[in-house]
Amino acid sequence: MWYFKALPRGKIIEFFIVAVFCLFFFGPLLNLVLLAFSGEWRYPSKLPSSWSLDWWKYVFGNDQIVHSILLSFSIATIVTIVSIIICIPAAYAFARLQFPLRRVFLFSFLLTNAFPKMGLYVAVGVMFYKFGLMNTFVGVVLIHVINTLMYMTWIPSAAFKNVQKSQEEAARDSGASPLRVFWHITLPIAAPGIIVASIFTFLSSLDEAQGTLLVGIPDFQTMPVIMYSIIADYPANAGAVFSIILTLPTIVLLLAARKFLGSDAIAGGFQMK
Amino acid sequence: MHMQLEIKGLTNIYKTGEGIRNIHLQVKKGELLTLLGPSGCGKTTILRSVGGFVTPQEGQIIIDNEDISKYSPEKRPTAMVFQSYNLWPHMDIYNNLAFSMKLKKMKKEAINERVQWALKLVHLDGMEKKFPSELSGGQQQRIALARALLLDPQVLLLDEPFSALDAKLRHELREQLREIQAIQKLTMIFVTHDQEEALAISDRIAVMNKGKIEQLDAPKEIYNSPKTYFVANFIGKMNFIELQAQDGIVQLGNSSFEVADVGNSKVQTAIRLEDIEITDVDPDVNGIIKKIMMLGHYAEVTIQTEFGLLKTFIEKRKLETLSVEQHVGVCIKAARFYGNNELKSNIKRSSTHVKEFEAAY
Repeated sequence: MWYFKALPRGKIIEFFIVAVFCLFFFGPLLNLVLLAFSGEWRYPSKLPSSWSLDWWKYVFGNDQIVHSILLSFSIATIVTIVSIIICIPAAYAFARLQFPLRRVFLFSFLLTNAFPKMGLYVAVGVMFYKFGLMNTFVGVVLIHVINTLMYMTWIPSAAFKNVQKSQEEAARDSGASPLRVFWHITLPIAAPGIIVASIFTFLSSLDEAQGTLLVGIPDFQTMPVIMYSIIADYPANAGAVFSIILTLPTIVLLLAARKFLGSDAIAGGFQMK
Repeated sequence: MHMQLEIKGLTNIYKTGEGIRNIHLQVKKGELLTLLGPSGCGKTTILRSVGGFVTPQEGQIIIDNEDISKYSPEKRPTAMVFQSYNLWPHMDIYNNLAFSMKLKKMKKEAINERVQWALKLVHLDGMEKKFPSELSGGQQQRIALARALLLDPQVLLLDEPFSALDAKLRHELREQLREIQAIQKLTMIFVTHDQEEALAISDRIAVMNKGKIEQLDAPKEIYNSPKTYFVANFIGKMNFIELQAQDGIVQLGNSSFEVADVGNSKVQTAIRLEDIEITDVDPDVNGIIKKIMMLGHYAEVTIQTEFGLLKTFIEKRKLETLSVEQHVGVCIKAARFYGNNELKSNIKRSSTHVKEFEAAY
């Protein structure tokens, strides 16, 4: 109670507002964690009556699920690499070159996010049938890459724009060829933006379910796809365990990259210039 | 005379019509030449052409008897200091300075030694571990200068390097630049739009307007006898009065001036502020003091006359006898007359006239 006494009156209201917000925000997460580690938990008791790791054992003992985890991470890694290879040159071009319809092209990268996803995927699916990409690894990767084009172009493009012309010219002056200037000066200065975009790409690929469900079934079932069936077929505990596994990489990556995750790096990526 | 840098017939016109037209320039070894002019006059285009960042449509650039016009920037014996964003934020100061030498695959000890030498030269020893963001604007520009010097340039190019700094710092850096130039015997081209800066540091100044050089002279000459109306307007403070000449005679109040080659045309009379004196004896023009502005050890006094407002500098100790709305006489010690943008006559009044005035005061 000493804490409340030390607070000025106005602050007490603030405190409660923050407390309510925290409950609202972290409550479901706490519930999820409790659920994942509970053995028996019956209504109306507030806490589980017994704790266990049974559901963790189940999840990690199930070959199909373990396989989906491995598959998800390898797909996300490959999607990120492919996306970097395709989008970084494009981002550089958008930042540095003036060409006709530049803004139209830049804007078109938004379109994949503007349509209802399922509608887009069905249209893509028809094409994939023709090219025999259904139920293939390449097909899944492609459908993921479509989703990440926007992040991977817009954010690095803003990062490249932040590299001043005089910084590049000073390097030319110092005796570096254009290629060396890009490698030693432009790329490192733009790196934070590229890292942020890569993390977004990795996470969005890890999270992607709709497109994978359509293109990858039955052989390529990633974590989010498997999760649908687990939620449908098993008690909530299994779903909770799985959610944690799915959330963990997000938290770890965001913590690791928080140095680069300034609001300006992200906001800068969404300017039409 | 051996020329370090020669520019011959340099022409580069942009789509907007701005640019440079047929520029010829010669810079001696160890000389500091300033390109001075308003924005858009083409001064930066010349500088960037020499540095290799602009490909001019016509003309030659010759450094030390070698035509370098076709070389890319990394091959040219020039070094440039930009207005801002010179340094690479992801490298510490040491690596910023060492970049060019690392490209040349120099030995580590040699690089160390050179970096220490450069830091000492710009009075920033011990900064090598810091990052550019930890330095002040002035320090960053000094590092940029050090990095340019480490390139051992035949010609050092400076593109308004101090214009983003505050006035006091600008003065300091100016002096430092002059010191370093004297020690290193550098050949420099300095671009600025600040006429005071140009007068302070240059050996010669090229005053530019609309892509052409209006006057190329030593600072003293530029100030004392501006060859065109534009230069007179751009350099230092000036009073301008438009007068009608009659048979080569220009009448200004009680005095008449004989101006060469004007006939009966309109003439722009330019009078420096320090060439106007307040006097009671035999004044050229009469007027009323409208404004007195203190500027430190002197003051600027504005006088309403029949020819419009005239401004003059007055020493602080003479100020006490003057007040606003006071009726005063004005004597003109020197004037320049321009017809058709050209200097026609640069007239200094006889010293007796001035002596008379001194005695009367």
